[in-house]
Amino acid sequence: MIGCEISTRTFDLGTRIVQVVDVSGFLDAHTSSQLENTLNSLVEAGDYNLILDLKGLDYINSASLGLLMGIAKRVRPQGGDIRLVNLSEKINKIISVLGFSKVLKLFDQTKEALTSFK
Amino acid sequence: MVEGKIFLKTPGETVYLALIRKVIAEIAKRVGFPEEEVARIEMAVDEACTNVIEHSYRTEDEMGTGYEWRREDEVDRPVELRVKINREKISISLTDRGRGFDPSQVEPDLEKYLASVSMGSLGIYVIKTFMDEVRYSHEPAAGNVLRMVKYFKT
Repeated sequence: MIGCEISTRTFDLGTRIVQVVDVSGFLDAHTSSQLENTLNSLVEAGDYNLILDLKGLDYINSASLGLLMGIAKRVRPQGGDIRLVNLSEKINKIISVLGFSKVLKLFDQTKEALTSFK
Repeated sequence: MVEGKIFLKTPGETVYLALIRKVIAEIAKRVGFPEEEVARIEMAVDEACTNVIEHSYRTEDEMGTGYEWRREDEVDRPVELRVKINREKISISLTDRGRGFDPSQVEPDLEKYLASVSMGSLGIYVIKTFMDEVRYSHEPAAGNVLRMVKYFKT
C-alpha cells in the first residue's frame, strides 16, 4: 500500500453516537493531513466520541500523535474522547516510550473501546 | 556484522519519506538491531528528514504565509543521508542546504510539547529520545549536518 487509507464507521450506542475511524498504511508528513481533515470534519460536525482503529497501520509520526493530542484536548471538554484500538506491537511501543500512552487511552479491540463510551 | 557506508539522496519532498524509512529500517535490521531499535531509528530519521523538508527548506515567505512550496526550487532541496556502520554503532548524517535547525537547545520533555501550541518540535523530542547521540553543525560549504548515532547494545 502506498500512503494511507481512511474510512469511517458510525455506531449508535443508544446514549451516544461513536465514530470509528479506520486508518491503515502509514501516517507521515505526506499523508497525515488526510487524518487531520477527517478528524477535524468529525469534530466540527459535533462528533466528539471518536475511536481510531489502527489495524493495518505500519507507521505513525510525531505530528500525527500531536494531532491526536490536539483532538483529545478539543473533544474532552465536550464530554467526548478519542480512543485508540488495534495498535501493532511496534506502534504500541513507540507510543508508550514517547509517553503518549499516559494521555491517550488505548484498547486492544474496537468492542472494548465502544463499551468504554457507554 | 556488516561494515560499510551507504549514501542516499532524494528530492526534499514528503512523498520520499516512505522510501527513506524503508531503506533505513532495512539497513538497521540487516546490521543486527532488534526490531524495537529498528523502529526507533526509522522514526528518528523520518522526523529529521521531515524537519528538513518542512522547516529547513521552507523560505521566509513560506513560513510567513503558510504552506506553499516553491516547486521550481525543489531540485535544489535535496535530502542527503550518509549511513556508516562499524562494530559498535550506526551513524546517520543528514545534510541539507536550507535554513537548518539546531536541536541542541531542546530538552526531551513531552509535557512541554504537549502544553505548547506548536507541535512541530515534537520531531526533535523524538530524535533525542530515540538516538544515543544527536549533533548539529553548520558549515558554509557542506550545509547543515545532523548526525545521529545509535550504539549496538552489548
